[in-house]
Amino acid sequence: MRPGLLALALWAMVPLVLSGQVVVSAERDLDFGVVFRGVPSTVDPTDAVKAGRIVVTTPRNVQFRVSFSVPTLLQGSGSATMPISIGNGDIAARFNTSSFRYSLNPSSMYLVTMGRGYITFEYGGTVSPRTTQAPGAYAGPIIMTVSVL
Amino acid sequence: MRFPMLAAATLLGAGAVSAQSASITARANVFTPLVVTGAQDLDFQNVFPGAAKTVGVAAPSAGRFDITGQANAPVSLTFALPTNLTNGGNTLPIGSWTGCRNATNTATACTTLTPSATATNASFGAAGTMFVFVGGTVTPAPSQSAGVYTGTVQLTVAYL
Repeated sequence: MRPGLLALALWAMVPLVLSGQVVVSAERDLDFGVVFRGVPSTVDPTDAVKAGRIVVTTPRNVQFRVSFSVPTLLQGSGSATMPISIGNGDIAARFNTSSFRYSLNPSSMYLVTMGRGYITFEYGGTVSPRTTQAPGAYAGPIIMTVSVL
Repeated sequence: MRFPMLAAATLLGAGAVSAQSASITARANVFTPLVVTGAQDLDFQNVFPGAAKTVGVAAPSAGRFDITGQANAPVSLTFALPTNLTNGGNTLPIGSWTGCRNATNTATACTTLTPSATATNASFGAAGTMFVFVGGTVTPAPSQSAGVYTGTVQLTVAYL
């Protein structure tokens, strides 16, 4: 390979290495499915089908902090909204293949220290359709921010 | 050996080298509650000893259930049916149940179904209405005692 091409290839690889330190992947939405007026519906973070899931993968020893932004209302058609609660204990974290779950509070910030591997964040919550809730689909964003220290 | 650690962070003195976010969606689908109404009784009117009588689904005296629910949603229809109508201690056999359903309140061009304890699957139309018509046959014995005989036909509807 000619030196000029080698230099270009190395330069191109640097951003990939840096951004590859920690990978945050949205794997599954939190899906309450069908709910009915006036009947609250809860999804446990351990629910294998309905719970939301975000996975953080690290290729080396790393320390990062995690913060959450969760909705209090889901948005429906037009101006329709539906209350949702994602509170203390509605988020769980598991390291790698461990079955042990850390129970988290979305209003707190967490410091994570781990080696190579991944950590799975699982999201549950409760929606509380009003007795006059308009039928239709409702949705809202759950955002998790990972800051590598 | 290093163990992973997760702790609530109360002191965040270290500046972040990089940050990234991921977003998932919380979603729910609000359905219109199911409402099932026994709108019209199945009425065999006058029958005579030894003479079976059938009421078809399109007859004016056929039974009818009116159902409202979520537009286009699939549901199951399950019946609890009597084998006899009763008048005190006397019984009048009933059977050969027939049924059909339609999105509008007419038995014309309706979709046939067999009322039974085994669920029948169906779907609402765009209007979120369903009409279920029920017919059957009573078979009075030659020695059938005179009187008014009644029984209960129950329809249970559930979202799938």
